[in-house]
Amino acid sequence: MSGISDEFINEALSYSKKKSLKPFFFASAAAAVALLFAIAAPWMFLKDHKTETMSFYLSIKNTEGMTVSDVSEIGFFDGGVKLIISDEENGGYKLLSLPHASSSTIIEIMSENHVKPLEENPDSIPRIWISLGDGRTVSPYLEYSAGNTGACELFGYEPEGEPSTELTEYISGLLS
Amino acid sequence: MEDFQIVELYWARSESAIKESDRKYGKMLTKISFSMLSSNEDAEECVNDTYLSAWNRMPTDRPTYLGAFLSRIVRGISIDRYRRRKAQKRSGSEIAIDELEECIPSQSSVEGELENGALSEAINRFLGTMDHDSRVVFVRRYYLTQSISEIARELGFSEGKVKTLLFRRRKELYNMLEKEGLV
Repeated sequence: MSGISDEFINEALSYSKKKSLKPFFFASAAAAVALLFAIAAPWMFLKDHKTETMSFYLSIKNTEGMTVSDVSEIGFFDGGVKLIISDEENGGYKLLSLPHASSSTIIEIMSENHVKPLEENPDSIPRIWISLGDGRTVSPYLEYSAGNTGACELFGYEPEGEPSTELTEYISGLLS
Repeated sequence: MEDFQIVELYWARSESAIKESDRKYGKMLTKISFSMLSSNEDAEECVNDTYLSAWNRMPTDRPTYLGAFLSRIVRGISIDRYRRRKAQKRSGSEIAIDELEECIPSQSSVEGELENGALSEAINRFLGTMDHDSRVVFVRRYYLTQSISEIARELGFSEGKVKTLLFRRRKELYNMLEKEGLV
């Protein structure tokens, strides 16, 4: 690693310097959010908050699908888009085939729409991935990026947010 | 002060070059050295040796990125001191080096020395193909030997995301080096 380019070292060092300006903005944003919460709090408790937060998982949870016990049975290169849900209790995975899904559409939706703030404890949500059929795997709980794209694997991750409304609606529409 | 202005001070043989370097990069250099040596006194000595080395090298060197230039020097000095000291305690940098040895061979033979140029060139190419986030995390972990929690905190990522990025990039690096016959 000694011979890496000065440009890459400088990029890595500079990244932290840019981020160091953010605490000021975070403090201002936090004050604004606190004020907003104080005004909006009564209205928030009128909604079914938990349902909305877990809406993606709840929308797919009871859909019929095939169960596999091992990652090797998933078929990452079979050309078919599928949802993969981890079975926390029994081990293994549930596969929901999305025969009419387009991998390019999914990527487009994920690229153009950010995940929503995660309000539920991330550990209460099973891990969910999308196999795009060409070897690539992504998760609807992560921002789409090359760094968050797996190759023939169900990578470990910490959810960055709830799937966007647009992605939820697209997938729910395919499953209905 | 901008990097080029500090470099001009070195070239003008002004002693304020050291003062300005320390003001801008002292903490960073101390952190890099401390992560390898786990000793404040040793880290301080290495940082002082770094400034001396920079003073001797400029002129004729005129680095574009002074931070990268100084970090490269302090890293080399710290590694030498670490090898001489043969620390018993497993430091943060040892853990980082162990992770990287999964995919990069140690180069101890003469033949290995010749291959070092090819390896460096391959690693730079690999870094060039990475997305910005992955590259910053990778360089901070394996060149600057920062801990995973430190990287996550400073970049605003979760530790899980940092670990996942590193795991995938190491695998990709190994595959690339294997294809090129460097492992």
